[in-house]
Amino acid sequence: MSERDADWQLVERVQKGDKRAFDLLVAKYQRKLFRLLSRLIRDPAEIEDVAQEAFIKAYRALPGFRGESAFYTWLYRIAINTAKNYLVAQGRRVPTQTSTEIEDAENFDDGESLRTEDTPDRMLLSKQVAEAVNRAIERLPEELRTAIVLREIEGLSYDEIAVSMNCPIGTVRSRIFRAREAVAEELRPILETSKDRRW
Amino acid sequence: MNPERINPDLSAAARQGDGADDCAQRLSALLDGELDEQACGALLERLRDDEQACREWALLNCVGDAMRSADVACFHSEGFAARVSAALEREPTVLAPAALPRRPTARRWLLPGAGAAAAAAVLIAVGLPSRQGSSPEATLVKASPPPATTIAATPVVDRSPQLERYLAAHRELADGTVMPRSTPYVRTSGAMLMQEGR
Repeated sequence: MSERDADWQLVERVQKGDKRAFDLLVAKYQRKLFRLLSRLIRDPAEIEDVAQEAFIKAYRALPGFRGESAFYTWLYRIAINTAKNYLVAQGRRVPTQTSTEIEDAENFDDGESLRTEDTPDRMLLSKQVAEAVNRAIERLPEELRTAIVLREIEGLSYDEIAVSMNCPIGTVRSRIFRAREAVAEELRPILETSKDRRW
Repeated sequence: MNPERINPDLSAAARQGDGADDCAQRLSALLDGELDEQACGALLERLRDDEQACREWALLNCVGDAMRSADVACFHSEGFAARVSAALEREPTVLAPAALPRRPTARRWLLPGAGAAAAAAVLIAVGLPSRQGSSPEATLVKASPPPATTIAATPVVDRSPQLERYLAAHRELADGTVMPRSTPYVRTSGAMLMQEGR
């Protein structure tokens, strides 16, 4: 199952009146949205305010969302427009380079396509996160490492991973979960240390 | 549905009794879209009152972000999701019309073929009645898009009475129309009466 299908499962639940499902989408995409907005707005408190407004707008508009694009692509456009409106209302200049990215949102890649205004704190945190992930992945038994990489990096479904690794799908599910837990253990102290400061 | 996916036949009581580890494993499967509808509903119900499970969901998502880009994971903010959730509580619950199914994603390589098929359909719809004398109603049904799309896509055109008279005369003279010949006159007369407030 693709990322898009996974999101659609939650979107459908929201469209049937389940607000809790939208909370899960917020938790899933908040970081990507923050980073996107950080290109337009510098102040972290303002970024959170605009991100919140974008999520609320998305929630209100969700009945009309029919899955023509990925949920994040749709959310991305709402967030960009919300940020632009916010900057205009504040009498501030709106960066122009975002227009082409909006057009290219379907192919949005969160690798190197965004150039955020990195602060020294954020650069240090990014380095710590990368080291923690590498440390955790290196320590994983090979079958767990393969499973999590095929899922998170390659985007394969459980069925595809099961075929690739020649094991039952239940084993795939278990391996991916255990690998995530191991990486989460390494990340937890870093993220909890940083939770009181706004990145 | 693959039989090895999370078992949907577990009772609600049994799910409530699941350990935190099992709940986390279900969250991991939900994150990958590998949880069936029933199990997904039960898990969401559980998340309603389980702060620990909510934090676990956020962390599992953060793991994926961190693996793909450490830069994205840096933007982790613990209290944000809770603030949005609180704001959502003040929002009226949204409901989508049941008649709006997900629009399937058209693959790019299918688009040229789809365009040709659409053009052929239009040609058949327009050409067949005059050539074969089939009933106008049947042709209209074939050519009509789904009702929801029609409603959304049809623009409201404000025509002047002069333009309506011209179009009506044109339609009367034109051959091969799929509409009954009296229809434009009836529509135009109706529009004129409405404009005159009669």
